[in-house]
Amino acid sequence: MRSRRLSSRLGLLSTILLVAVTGILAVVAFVGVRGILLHERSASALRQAHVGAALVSNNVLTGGGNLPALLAQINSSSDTVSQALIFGSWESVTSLHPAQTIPLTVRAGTLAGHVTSLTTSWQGHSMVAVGIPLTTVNGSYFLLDNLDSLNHELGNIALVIALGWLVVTVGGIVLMRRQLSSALVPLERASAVVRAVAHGDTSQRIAPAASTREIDSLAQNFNAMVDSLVAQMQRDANFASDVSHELRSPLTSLTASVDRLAARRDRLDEDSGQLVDSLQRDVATFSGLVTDLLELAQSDRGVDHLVLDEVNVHELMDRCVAHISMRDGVTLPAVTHDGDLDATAVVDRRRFERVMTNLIGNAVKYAGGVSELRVQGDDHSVRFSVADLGPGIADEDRERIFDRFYRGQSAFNRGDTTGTGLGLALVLAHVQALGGTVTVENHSPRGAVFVISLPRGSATH
Amino acid sequence: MSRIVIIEDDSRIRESVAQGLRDADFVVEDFPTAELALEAVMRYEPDLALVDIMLPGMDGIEACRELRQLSDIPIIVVSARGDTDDVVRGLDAGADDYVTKPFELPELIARIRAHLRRRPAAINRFTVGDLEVIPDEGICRTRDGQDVHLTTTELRLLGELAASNGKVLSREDLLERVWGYDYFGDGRLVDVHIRRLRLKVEPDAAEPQHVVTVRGAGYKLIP
Repeated sequence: MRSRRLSSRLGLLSTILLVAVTGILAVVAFVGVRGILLHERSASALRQAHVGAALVSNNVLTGGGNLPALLAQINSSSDTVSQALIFGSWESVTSLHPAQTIPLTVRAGTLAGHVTSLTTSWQGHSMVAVGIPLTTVNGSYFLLDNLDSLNHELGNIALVIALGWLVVTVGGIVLMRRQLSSALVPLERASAVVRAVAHGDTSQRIAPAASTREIDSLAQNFNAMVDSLVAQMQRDANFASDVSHELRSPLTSLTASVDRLAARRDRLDEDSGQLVDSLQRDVATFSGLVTDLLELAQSDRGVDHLVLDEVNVHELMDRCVAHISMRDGVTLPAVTHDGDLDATAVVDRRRFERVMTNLIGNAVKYAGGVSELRVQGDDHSVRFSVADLGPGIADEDRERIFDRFYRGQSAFNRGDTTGTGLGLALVLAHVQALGGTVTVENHSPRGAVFVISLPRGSATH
Repeated sequence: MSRIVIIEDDSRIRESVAQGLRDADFVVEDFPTAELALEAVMRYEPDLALVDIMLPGMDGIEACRELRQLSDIPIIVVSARGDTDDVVRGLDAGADDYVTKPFELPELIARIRAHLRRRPAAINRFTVGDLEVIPDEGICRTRDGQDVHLTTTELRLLGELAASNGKVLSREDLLERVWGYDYFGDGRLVDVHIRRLRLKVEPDAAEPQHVVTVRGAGYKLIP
């Protein structure tokens, strides 16, 4: 199922509910009002008819004469028409023949001696017809009440109810949406914070939402969880740092002793000399491991300060390669310079040198040497690449080679033990600290190429 | 033969480093605490001091400060702390350079030699504002003859800036010329020493008129 935003889903549902409920209410209200009004009108017509019937009876009995004038008088309201059938002759004030206007049922019922009333429609008008038998004078009295005005009124009422319904519904929807979105804002903020924490920004916390208790409780629990995670991470980082720190002092005296022993190598016999060589190599590896661990631990704890300078990237790479080549006694290819030769980047030179030392060292130790060194200055970034002559990086290793202590298959195959397993993890940490990225691809026709990409520096910083 | 004082509480390190330096033809006197070293340092007249930052009693930072009161010799602090703030505190207290444990003996010896190397000053005699400076004789004094105490490193730094004739020197240039580091040395060495130099030669260190920063490029001297 397609996932939709909670707010639009809730909004749609509540809108449908609101329209339905208010619509039903409006219809019920109208039907009720109409029923009451019609009932009132029928009752009033009946009352009027009784009065009219009494007057007509009286008139006939007392021989008052001039029945039409009386009937006209009774028809005080323009809506009603009174007619009387006395001794078989119609007395009426309209030109219409009563037989045409009074429904048959009413006539029949009245002539049979019952008070009869009926709401009916005639020539497009709805009306109430009432018939009252005049037993004393052997006649009938009929009253027609035209309901047009009532219907007109009902039409107006319907219009008012419809308008009211529209206003209430639209206003309700607007209010509800506003309420809904304001209720969802803290949820959306919380979601943004969760996303940030998931991406490693553990400094973010969800602000308490005063309005919603549920979200508030979620926020508190989430914040507590992040706090304890951060504390745990801090403890782990401190532990690594403490351990490496404790190792430093004995390692320093060990290194110094081995260095002194190595300085007297010419006074040792061949076997002891070889032992000293191997000891010196191992101590150097151990020392490198502790230094790497400390550097990573510092980076984890966020206490390593960057010493930043804006430098020309081509000069940086040239100097760095020359430095490594001289220090480690390796022959390296000349650096290829591409793109903008004036490109600069803001770097920590020591870290950059560390990154290149590790990449070049890996190429020399594990991959048959460096085949190409390249610097490219683009519009927004600068790229440093180190290509090697090895078998390339297997797909399954590509993601993991930057993990701590992860060694690719090729290192195992060589039975290599001189690496610390932290070199590429440090490369990643340093490059990220400089705001850059590091990727590895397979190089054509053979070998792997590591590419460091850093944001280009601005000349005015 | 140069004389070196080592202040280090860990006896294994102290002895192996002292012995290593002796192997490299230095005369070494080693002390387990700063108090003992400071007491002896006046009659001993060393050429350089190697000071561990973490010491029982008076710590290495305080030892640097005290040592600075007594002498202008180069001081190298030895940092074992994980965080690098330690290094900056040591430099602020008067140290000229630092090494981080675990260091290798050849590396330490190279650093010591760089500091002890007697190089002819880049410029013989120059003035900065009210000050007259004669680097080879270690003299820096005001017009009315008052001495301003500059350490060996500060004197070299000022000399290199003066010798460049108003041209801007980058941190790397200064690292190379004053400390003997290559391009990848720690730029904070330069920044901290420039700060200290300003306190001594500027009328108002907050508004430097002579040792000025050129943004994004380095430093230059305006006499």
